[in-house]
Amino acid sequence: MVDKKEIEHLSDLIKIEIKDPQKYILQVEQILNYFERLDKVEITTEDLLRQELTLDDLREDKFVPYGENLIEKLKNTRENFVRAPKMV
Amino acid sequence: MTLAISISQYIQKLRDGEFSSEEFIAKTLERINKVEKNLHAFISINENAIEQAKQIDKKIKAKEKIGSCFGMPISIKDNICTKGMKTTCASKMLEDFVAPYDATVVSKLKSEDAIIIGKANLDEFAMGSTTEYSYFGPSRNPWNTDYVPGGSSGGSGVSVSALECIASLGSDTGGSVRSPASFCSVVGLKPTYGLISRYGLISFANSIEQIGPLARTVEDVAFILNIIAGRDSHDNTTIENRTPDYTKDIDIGVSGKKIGIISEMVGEGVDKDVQSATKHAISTFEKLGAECIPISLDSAQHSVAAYYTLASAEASSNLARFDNLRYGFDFSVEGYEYNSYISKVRSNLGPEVTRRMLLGTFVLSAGYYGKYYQKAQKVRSLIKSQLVESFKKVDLLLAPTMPILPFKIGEKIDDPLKIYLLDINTIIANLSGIPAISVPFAMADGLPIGIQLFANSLQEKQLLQSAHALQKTTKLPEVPI
Repeated sequence: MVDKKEIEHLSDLIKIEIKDPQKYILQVEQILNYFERLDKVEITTEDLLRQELTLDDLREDKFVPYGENLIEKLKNTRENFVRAPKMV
Repeated sequence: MTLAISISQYIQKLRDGEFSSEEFIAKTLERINKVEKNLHAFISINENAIEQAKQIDKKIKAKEKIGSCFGMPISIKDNICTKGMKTTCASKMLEDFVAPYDATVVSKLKSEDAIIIGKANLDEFAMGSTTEYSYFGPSRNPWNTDYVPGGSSGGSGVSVSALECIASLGSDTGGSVRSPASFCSVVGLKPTYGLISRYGLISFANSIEQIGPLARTVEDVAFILNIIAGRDSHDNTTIENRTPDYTKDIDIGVSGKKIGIISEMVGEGVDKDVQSATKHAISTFEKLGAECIPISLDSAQHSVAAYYTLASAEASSNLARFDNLRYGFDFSVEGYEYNSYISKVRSNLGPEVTRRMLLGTFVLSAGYYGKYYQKAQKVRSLIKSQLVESFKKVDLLLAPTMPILPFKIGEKIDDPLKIYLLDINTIIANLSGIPAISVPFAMADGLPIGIQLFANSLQEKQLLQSAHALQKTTKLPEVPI
């Protein structure tokens, strides 16, 4: 089910360079095979566990200044910007 | 002066002038220096601990208002933010990260004059059950240093067990507080979802994880819970209705309580020593006046598959933020295109984190979402509803914390599924949000066995009372290191 191409596709999606995809093929397949059992569980309810919050539960949407210049604490900055690699 | 004391003994002795906070901290640091090379419980140590203890002693001398922790040393799992100290998540991706703020739990402890003695080792980003996946190397079990201490809060379990602190905070996503508690012979609590603020806990699986205390006695765990529980405006998943005092009436006992023994967790696949310790725990509870009945929880057999589907899905989303740009290790952006830079730096994530991100992305992808993720959510609801039904019949549920004894470092590292299956007895608490506690109960071949109790949501008080009753019956050896 899981082949080298699938692992390479996934590693592309998660943006992790995987040097040895072979290493992951067997393990990921084995784990997904184990997950297959979920498909066989008989569930009649459509209910999903969730915690409901009403708007009253939320705090006021108010700007609270932090008090310290956080950008200075980052490692790769120039003026007020984070330095990043070229997009193209 | 002995370091093997409980929190109440610490406070009493400090008040009696038997030692100062500075003396206790100095002795603790001496102990850490002595045992760390064998145990590796810590990623970093607080270099200002002595200075902070001096300040607290000064306050005590001047009869100023003093917090309830009186300068006691507490370790914090290194995925919980501490201002001015590194918070690495045991990952190269955060090896130099210094948080600009304290997690709510840390500021609460500090405001009660606790001293953060150090940051405890863990599996990278709390993903693991043995602490072997730490970028900085594994922690070792103080009962036998060839063995794993459990995980992912392994450093927390080791530091409490080996007298390197009085208590610790870990985080429990699938058993990560209870597993090291069981393997290291200490008490570990996973509280009700929402009871403790997660603000400042570096997210792995937000809908499942909770911060929880580890200590040598149930009473000490209740003491720490008193400090850290409660609603926090920084975390909207926190809930009201905490118990005002978890230590009050902790001695009340279990007479008249009904305890359900989870049939699926005590039979097949459980080590024989663990089985006999569980039987002994059941008869102990009966002697103490509780009634024990078998309870079947058949949905529990699907819990591992549901949990690892959901936790991986949440992890793959949460870890997308680690791009090494705003914080991270030293790796220049010069000469890289955006995507290739991110892929390159993220190749430094460890094998388990990579595996979970692969799995999480797979189960969320088009065509598989309904088969895995949605089905896992439904199994999660099923587990919750079966637990709700169970708690109509019994007050508590009981099972061994871990199905097997601690095992040798490296023994299972090449078989991730085998490691996942170790969580089979702990996961139901995380998926359903109920509280659970592991109590050190027995030893086999010099290795600890923990017994686990579950209670309904927000029933921590009852859970702690029963765990305390069980712990009082035990007489376990002192840690050999």
